[in-house]
This record gives sequence, structure tokens and C-alpha cells, in this order.
Amino acid sequence: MKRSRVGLTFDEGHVVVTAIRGPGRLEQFRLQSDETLSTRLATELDARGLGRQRVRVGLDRSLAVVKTLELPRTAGGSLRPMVAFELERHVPFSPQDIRFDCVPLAGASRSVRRVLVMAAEGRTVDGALRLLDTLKRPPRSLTAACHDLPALLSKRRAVGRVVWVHRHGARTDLLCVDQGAVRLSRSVPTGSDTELTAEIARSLPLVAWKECDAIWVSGDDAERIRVAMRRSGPGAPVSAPPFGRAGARLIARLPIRGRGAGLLALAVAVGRRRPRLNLIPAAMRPLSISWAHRVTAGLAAVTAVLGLGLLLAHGHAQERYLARVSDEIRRLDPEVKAVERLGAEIVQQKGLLATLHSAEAGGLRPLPVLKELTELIPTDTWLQSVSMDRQGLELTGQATAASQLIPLLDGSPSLERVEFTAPVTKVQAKEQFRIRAGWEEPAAPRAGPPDGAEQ
Amino acid sequence: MSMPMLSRRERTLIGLGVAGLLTVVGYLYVVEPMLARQREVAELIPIREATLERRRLMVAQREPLTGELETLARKVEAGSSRLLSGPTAPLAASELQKLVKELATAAEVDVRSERVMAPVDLKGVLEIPIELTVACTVRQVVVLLGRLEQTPRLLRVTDLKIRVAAPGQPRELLTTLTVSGYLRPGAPAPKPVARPTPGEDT
Repeated sequence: MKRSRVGLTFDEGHVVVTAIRGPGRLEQFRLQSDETLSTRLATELDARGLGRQRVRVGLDRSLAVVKTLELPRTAGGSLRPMVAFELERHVPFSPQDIRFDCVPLAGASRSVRRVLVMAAEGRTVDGALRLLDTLKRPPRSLTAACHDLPALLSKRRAVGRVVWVHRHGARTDLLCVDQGAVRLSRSVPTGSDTELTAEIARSLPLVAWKECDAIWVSGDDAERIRVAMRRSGPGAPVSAPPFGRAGARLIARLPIRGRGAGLLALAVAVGRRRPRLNLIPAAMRPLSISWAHRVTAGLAAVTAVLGLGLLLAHGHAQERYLARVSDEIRRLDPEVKAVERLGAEIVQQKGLLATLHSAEAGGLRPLPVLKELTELIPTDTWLQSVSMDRQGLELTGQATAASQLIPLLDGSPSLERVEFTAPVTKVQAKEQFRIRAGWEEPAAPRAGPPDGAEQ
Repeated sequence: MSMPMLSRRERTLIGLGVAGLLTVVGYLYVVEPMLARQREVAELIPIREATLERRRLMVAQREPLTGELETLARKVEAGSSRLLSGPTAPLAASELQKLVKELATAAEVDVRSERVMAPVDLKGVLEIPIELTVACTVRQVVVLLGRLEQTPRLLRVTDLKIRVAAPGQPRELLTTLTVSGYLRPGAPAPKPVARPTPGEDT
């Protein structure tokens, strides 16, 4: 929901409240200022659904003193204490009871600094703030109501030096506006048109103007005053203020009765968020973000965004590179599996080849062994059986001296660990023996030509 | 207590606190996870690169491996040419029996018994053993063993027992030998090989 703007002004024993809820949506009501004002005002604001937003307050120009002070330029001197010191001579209040704000003006000499000052009595300012406090609505700005009138102008039409005459009830406010900015304001009693012209003439020297480019007249009885001033010929064109389109649309919705005060209240409601002269104490002002703050915050935000962007970009680049590597790995997967299958087949074929080689190299070679036995065993020895297996050789037989067989067989290059496996027994003239020997080489006995085995 | 009641100093402090909190939360939940992911990716990249390099090297070995496999296949094929044709173990045993009988007949030995033993798996090659008992002289045994060694098929004597058939008859021997042939199960049948002519002496 769009927040509404609420402006509050004081007009001849009444409080005028203006609320703008959106383009062209204006509400304005008046309440009698008495002891029950705060209660009735709070009820009215709540009933109209105007939330707890900050309220702009516009004081009647006659309650404030607006002056242009000329101060000496001092290096590094703070402006406010100097203005406070100087202001004592210009206001009819006691120094402790002054509430003021000031703004430097351009166009002074090198040695003199011109400052526009607005001052009001403490109780006036405190009274307005106390009213808002009882309403539980904080103030946004507190200024002279007529100083907000330029907020209604068209921002596109820059006009030079203008005297703006705004009449409301028994008072007439005179504003000297230079390029849309208030340079001075005065409040004069409503009198004859001649007196008004004289007041305008008296105002020009106060802002060091010899003449003005235009005179604008608004508020009560404005049309008649414009006609009268044109007849008297003040030297500058007299016209209605060139309100902007939005301002004109809102002004058209103002009630006819009390139009001057209504226009002031409307100007306060549409006034700047941070008026040049604001009587709210600094501690109570809403947090204002200056352009410098905004630029700094923007730079910080841009830096943060750039940092995050850099981080993201770096991460994204890494992720993309990793994805490319992973894709390449995946692309090579079928080829790698084919190579792995090749490797497995090679291992299998090697195993098969080794098995074939071991099958060829394995087994017994009985013929060379039989030939060697034929050569080694003495002729008086009879073999009854010869057994060969993968472990070794076993001989059974009879010999004249069985013990002589052991060294003979042990000397064989094919046999080792020759030993009797049974006791040698005497049978008639021979010795019965059983000899066991292992193969010298575990794989197979050495090759040799076959020959007879039995002696 | 509503915000408008707070002083500017309090509002500033609250704002700074909220901004600090947002910064910390943003760092913890946005920046830190991103940094952690980046660290993880940075650690992963060299591992993946090494994997890719290994795979590229492996793929580059394809041609040499193919050549080696073909060489090995040729060697295995050559080595398999002397095996029994099979293709099953009983058929191979039958072929072996027939072959050994032919050799025994050629060696003029008297085959008393023969027995097919259980095949032994030698990692891709089946060993088909048969046990044979023959009655013969020493010379006939030698002839038989010589023919077994010279046969074109790969035959190996794995066990041999020669004993005198009866006391007093030393020239009559009873020989028990275990002869093994070999078979590659599932392999195409090897080409028939030239057999020694029966009666050929060694």
C-alpha cells in the first residue's frame, strides 16, 4: 500500500490537516483548536486510516522570524554557534527560548557569508511537537508553511526572481523566490492593494534585488488582487503561480472556503522531505540519507555485487572446466573399457600360454632316467620294480651290497635325497632293498636317450 | 516501544547491528557455501585431470595391446595345435585312449587294462589322464615310451611303475603308466596332426 503524506497547519484557531493518498487523491479537514484537539485529531486520523507515518507541520509565517544574516567568513568555524550568537540581536525571544535553523546562501563576497535563518519561539515549536507526540506520530518537518509553496510549482519551468504573494485570512505572506528556492519571506497584515505593492517594494532590497522578474499572487481573493496590481503597474508581470500538473490537480480538489489556508496546508503536505529550514531539533529529525551517503552506499553495493559476481564467475568457470574434464572422462569411458578388456584378455592368454608351456615342460621323461639307471646300477644288482611319479623315483630289488647303491644314485645329476625307505634284509646271498630318491629338478628329470632299465 | 520513540543514536546503533547481522548471515549462507563449493571444485580438478591423463595414456596403449594380444593369440593357437581335439573331456579321453592303443599296438605290447581318470583343470587347459597297464619286455616298454614322447599330440607320462610280472621270469614285466593328454575346453578343434606310422621303432 502506498504511504500517504500528511501535512498539518494552524489557521486562526483551527488545525488544518491535509492527506494525500496518491495522485489526485486529496483529503483535507479542519478541527477547532481546543483542549480536546489531540484526542479528536487522533480519532480522526485513525478513522481515515492515516497510519503512524511522519507528519509535516507548517507554522504560520507570523510565528517565525526569517532573516538573512551577514556573517564574517572564518576558516573552519561552525556556522550554528555563530548564527545563535548573532541571532540574539534579531529576535524578540530570550536566547534560551530560540529554536532556529539556517542555511548558507550563495552570492556573497569573500569576506562575508550570507545565511538565511528561520527562528521561532521555543514554546511554539515545542507545542507543535507535543501535539504530534500525543498523537504518537513523529514529525517529518517543521517549517514556515509558506516556505513549502514552491513545492507546488512545475519543476520543469524555472523562473528567475519572483515575488510570491499568498493571502490567507488576515495575513499575507510575501516570498522572494529565486530559481524555485525561497530567499526571504515576510508576513504582512492584509491591507489595501497599494499597501501590498509598497510591501513588495520594501521587500526587494532585503534580498538585494533591484527588481523581480514576476509577481505571483495566490490564496484568498487572488484574482482580484492580480487585476488590481496589473492596473497599478508594479513593473513586473503579475500572474497566478505556474503550478505543476500534479499540484494543479490537487489544488482543484481544495474546498472553496478558506482556499488560502487550504493551499498552505496542501503545500506543507507535498513539501520536501528535508526542507532547507527545519525547526525540528536534530535529534528528532528522521534519518536523512544525503547524496554522499547514497553514492557511498551505492559504491559499496556495486563493490559487493562485483565481488560476488567475481566469486560467481570464478566458481562458474571452475565448474565449467570440471564439467568439461568430466565429460572428456565419460567420453573416453567406452575406449578405456575396451582397453581394460584387452588387458584382461592378454592376462588370460598369458596364463593359458604359461599353462601350455608348463604342460609341455611337465610330466616325466622316463627314458633318460632309465638310461641313467642302466649306467649307474652295478651288474650284480637286480631291480624288481621301478616307480616314477612327479615327486621322485622308487627302486625295489636285490643287490650284493645294497648300501653301495646310495652313493652311486646320489651322484646322479637327476636324483637327490637318495635313501632307503625300508630295512635292508638278507635273502639268500643278496640284500633286499627299497630305495627312494627325489628329482634333482622339481619340474622334470633331465632329458636323455631312452634305454633299458632292468639289469 | 516503537521506532519513532528511539533516538537517532539508538536507531543508528540498531541499523548498524542489523547491517552487521545481515552481513554475517549473508557471508554464512551465501558467500561461505560458494567458497566451500569452490574449494571442493578446486580440490576435485587435479584429481579429475589425473584421471583423464591416466585414461588418455591407457587409450594410447590400445594399439600396442592389440598387437600383443594378437601375438599371444597366435602363440596360444600354435601351442594348442598339439592338444586333443575334444571338444569335451569324455571325447578327448576317448581320442586319447584310441591314440595310446594305437601306440601300444605299434609297440607290440599287451594291454592288460586301461582306465580313464578324472580330468584336472589347469587354468584354461584340462588334463585328461588315462591309466594303462601293459605286459611287455623292457625293450617294448622303451619303444612304447619313445613313441609316446614322439607322438605329434602333446602326451605326458605322469606316473610310471615297472615291475616284474612274476618271480623267476625277469623278462616279463608288468608296466603301469599314466598318460595325460590336454584339451582346451571351448576352443576350436585343432587341425589333425600327422601320426607316426605303426611299428615305427625309436
